[in-house]
Amino acid sequence: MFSKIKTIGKPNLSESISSNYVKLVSHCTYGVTGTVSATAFDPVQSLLAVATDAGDISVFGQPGVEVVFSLQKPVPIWWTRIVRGIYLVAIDTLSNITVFSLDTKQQLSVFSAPGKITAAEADPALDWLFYGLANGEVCAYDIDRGSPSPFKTNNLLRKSNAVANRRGTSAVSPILALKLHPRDVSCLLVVYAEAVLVLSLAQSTIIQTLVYSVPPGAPGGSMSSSHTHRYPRALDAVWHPNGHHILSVHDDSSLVFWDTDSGTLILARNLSESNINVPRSSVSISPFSNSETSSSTAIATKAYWCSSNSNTMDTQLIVIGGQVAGLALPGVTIIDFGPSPTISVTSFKSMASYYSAPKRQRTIPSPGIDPNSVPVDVQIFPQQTPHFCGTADPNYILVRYSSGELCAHSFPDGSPVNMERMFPPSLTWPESPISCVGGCTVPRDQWLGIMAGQPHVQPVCTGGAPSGRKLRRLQTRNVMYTGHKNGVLRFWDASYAEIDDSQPLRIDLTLPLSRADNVAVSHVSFSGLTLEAAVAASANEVVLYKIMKAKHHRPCDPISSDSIHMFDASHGIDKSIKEGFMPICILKPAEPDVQVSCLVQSNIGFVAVGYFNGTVAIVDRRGPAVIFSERLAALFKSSRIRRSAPQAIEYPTSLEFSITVVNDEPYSSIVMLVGTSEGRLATFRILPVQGGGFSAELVDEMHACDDSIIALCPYNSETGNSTIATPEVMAQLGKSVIVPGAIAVISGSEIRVVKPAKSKLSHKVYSASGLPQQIGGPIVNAGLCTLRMGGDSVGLVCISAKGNAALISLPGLSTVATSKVPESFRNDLQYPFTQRSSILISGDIMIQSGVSQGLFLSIWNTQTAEGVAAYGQKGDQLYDPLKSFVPRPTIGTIQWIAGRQYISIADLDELLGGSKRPKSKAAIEEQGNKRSDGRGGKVNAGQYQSKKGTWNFSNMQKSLNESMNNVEEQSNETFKSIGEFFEDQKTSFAKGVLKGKMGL
Amino acid sequence: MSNPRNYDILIKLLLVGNSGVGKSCLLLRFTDDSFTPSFITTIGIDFKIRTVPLDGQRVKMQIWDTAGQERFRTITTAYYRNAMGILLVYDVTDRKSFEDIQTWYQNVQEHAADDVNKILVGNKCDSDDARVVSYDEGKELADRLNIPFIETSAKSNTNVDEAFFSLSRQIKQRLVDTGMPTSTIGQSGLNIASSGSSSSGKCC
Repeated sequence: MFSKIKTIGKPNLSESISSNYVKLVSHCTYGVTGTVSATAFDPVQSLLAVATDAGDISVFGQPGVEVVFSLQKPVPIWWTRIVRGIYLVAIDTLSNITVFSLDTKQQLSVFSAPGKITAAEADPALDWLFYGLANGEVCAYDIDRGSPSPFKTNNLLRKSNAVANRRGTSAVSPILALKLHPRDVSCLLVVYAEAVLVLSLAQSTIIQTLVYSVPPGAPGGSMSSSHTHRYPRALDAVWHPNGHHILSVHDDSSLVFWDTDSGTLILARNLSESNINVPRSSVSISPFSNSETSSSTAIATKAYWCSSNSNTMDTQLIVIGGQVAGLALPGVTIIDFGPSPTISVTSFKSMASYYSAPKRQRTIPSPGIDPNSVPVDVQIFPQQTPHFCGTADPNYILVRYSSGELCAHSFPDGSPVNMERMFPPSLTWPESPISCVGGCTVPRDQWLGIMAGQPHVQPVCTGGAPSGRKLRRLQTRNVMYTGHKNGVLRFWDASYAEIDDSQPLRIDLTLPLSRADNVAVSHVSFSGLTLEAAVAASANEVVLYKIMKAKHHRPCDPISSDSIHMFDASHGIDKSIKEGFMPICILKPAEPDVQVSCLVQSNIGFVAVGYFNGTVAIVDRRGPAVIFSERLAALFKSSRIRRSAPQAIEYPTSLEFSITVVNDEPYSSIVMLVGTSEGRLATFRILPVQGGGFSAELVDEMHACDDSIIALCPYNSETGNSTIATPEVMAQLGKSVIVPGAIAVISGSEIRVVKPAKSKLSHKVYSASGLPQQIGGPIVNAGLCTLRMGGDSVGLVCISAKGNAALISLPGLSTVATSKVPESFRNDLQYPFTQRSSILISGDIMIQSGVSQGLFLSIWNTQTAEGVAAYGQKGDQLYDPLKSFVPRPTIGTIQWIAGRQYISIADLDELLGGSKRPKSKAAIEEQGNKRSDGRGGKVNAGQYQSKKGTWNFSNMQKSLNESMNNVEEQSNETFKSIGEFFEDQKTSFAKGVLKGKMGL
Repeated sequence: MSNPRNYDILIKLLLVGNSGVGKSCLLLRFTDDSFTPSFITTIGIDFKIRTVPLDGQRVKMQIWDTAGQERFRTITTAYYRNAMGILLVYDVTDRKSFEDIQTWYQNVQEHAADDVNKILVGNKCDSDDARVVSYDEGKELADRLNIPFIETSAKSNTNVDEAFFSLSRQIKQRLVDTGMPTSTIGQSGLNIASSGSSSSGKCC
């Protein structure tokens, strides 16, 4: 153990900080835990559920509304739905079905399925969850009552002669997909690899068996020439939004259209060709098809049949994967068929030509997505109704990739959507892997001014109501930035829980760099005073941005140096932005493959960039011009190479601009401080030159630490205020202002305080059993924090990769206090993500805690505004009982005349629930009791009453509507049953109202 | 079902060129005979089909319209190799788009099939006031690259059909001349009636 402190006659700047004041408290979390694995959207309640492989489901509503539901065990969730607007249903990989209430935010029931669930289907209007098992059985679960249904089928393939007679058919075939008919609740599409079956729940019979085969000589979906009879395996099947046609998707990328009533094959096509199941005389081998069809990226895996403009006959198909002319496509394809001819009077041949000649077809690749990742799922955002397969008239779609990345597109044109404008902020974290996280402070007026110029966009989710939060009052706004692998960088108001306006500012590096790969944001520095930013891409470019109006932007003529080239970047303006970050110029080192090691955008118009080859470059943005670019090795008198790595090149690791007195001179200077990988501190002075402009010269260099320097904190040695250069102090330089300075130089296990340029003031080395043990590892970041401005209450906050913090006094370097991350977040913090953090002068700490999650902490216990609900805690309201539910569409007259039996939801409930199913009324009452228990008796009686009344009434209205719609189609028997049902409902409604009045 | 194909020859075409030169407008004019003056950047790949009678045969044209923006370039080049004909489009009112044809041409040489047919298309020839690339300059470049040249306007519907037809004729001619090698016909195949003799024996 070794530690030493030089006693010095300087005032203790941290004197008034008591250890009681220091405690890490969390303000909020951002993003989602784990990787996104399933999503669900309810257009009536306007809520979006996002499930992850960590067993969490985040439900988002209007800006500020976010509630996280967690499974009992952190098991990956692969399927989730919102049912009847109030139930959140999730299925995990252990085949447990978990039901949560969006109203009480409690878990309602958990059920372990009697086998491995391979497919599931729930309808927004039904209490029933249908699930298919690996052994081919179809079962149902009662979501409302939380119990399994007696309903169960055996493996249906065994019943099907068409399949059973085929050779090579396995007896046990898992169910791949289940889809309920959009208009007939008793009709279920069951997809096996061998065949697609249409099952009637009412009659317990298979109505249709759809088997797709490709005869010898026909090209099939893979466009290959084979002289055998093939049976491409089905992967998915979907209903036409009206239910009269079925589309099946097969493993050779065939898309096959079937007529539901007759089971006739209308058309088989792939993305580019039609009639692929018809033998051709001279099919030749495509040079590309054979090798690529085998790869999973080439085949179409899933499809969604959407309808637009509230017209279910004007449809579009979204196909995941698929193959165009032998090409593997990494995106999704939208096929717009346009308005359909009237089904009842159109021949199958005409329908075939309609499906073979779409109005438009567009493949939308996603350039920023990991190239090894494939699209796996599309979340569709219908605008009005949750029915018609949940695909009616959507305006957006969200494509989820196998890597968990997300990509939003408008629909039906497929243009990419800036996610931060439409979607909840937390959802932008998993959009693309985070490559850079940090924060800075911006004067409040400045930030509000920028935000005022941003357009307001209607978000996708508008449901729920945020709980009241106590706001923090800050003179400066904390601005957080998140940089992604796809080159997108966003600047948020870091405490977006505080305000309604959560619109972030966006930078897209792909535009100025004109490419989509190798654009990950690696370093960011933003000056809140001058609104300038410097952003480094993972390749080696640095793009300089400034917030301004697009109309004020002018191309520039940058002045390069020999080793650093600079180009105008005005071609990279995002034309959709009227005011925001405008790219000014791009820096690129002459030597190829040299990456940026560190970067700082000062508040006084200079940018310093360090490169791994040891170069330091300074750019004066008033030109812009490279005013300095030298290799450190060429400047230093002595080379300081570690014994352990003699070949290593010394490179800058930390940069800062300060205005301070150097070497006891009677005036202050602009200095650039450089910390290096070898623990050296170099001080450069920036001087004006004749004829305008500036130059930089090395003042001195010293050995400050034994290890790589991670942070430089210049401060006023008398007042403790930060001496990072600002325009105000710079303006006073002409008046010979004196700023007595000191610099805290921090490495992983060492802190040294230096008086510029090289007088050592104090020094502390931490052995493994000292501070590193208390905070759980070496220091990964450090920053100056003040408890209150202008007092003797400045401290140095050092944090470890575990997120724990220590407050170190200045200049004595004694440990005032250490504090651990709040208990509830400790498991969330994952190394190495936690290496990305920022410490702000206000004591706020932003730290990336997981692959797509961030944590916002404060070091000051005094700022624990009680009542500030952490973001994501269950304070927000989600379920709104006053939003009336849209009744489920039913079969039309013609279908009824054609012989289809009409089954109401009540009929289905009786069919699946059996005679022992508890009464719905009882369930509601039970649920009501639970609800009032859960709220600890705080329930407003009137509110509850009206809620109950609405639910009952809407139920009744719904069934009335359904009944009225079909009155003309009903037989005498059905009339009778309606009458009974109606009577029953009336009685239950009356009872409900009566009980409600009595407060039961 | 009876013979499902309503065409004799299938031809696959690709439109390339800088962003904003009017590739999508040319395609829209050719397939739908419509024009929209608003500029909508193509994202990814658009795909359209038009079947036309050409010299006594029914030719089905599959046309891929690519995104001109550079950030999509790696994705769009993947489509080159399957095209039988490529339209290199520039804007006569934008000199940079004309200069960049050289780059597009190299891209095509690099990624497309060796015998792919090409045509140079100078679009927006209706805007005489804004024109900065003369017909002669275009012609000169086309001659240097040894490919045909045509000036079109999707707005005024000038030479749009001609551009596509001229390229299709070349391809058709090449297919007949070369006896239809399997690599270019690809999976399209030919009509039983019209092509039985010419394609027999080529199938492996």
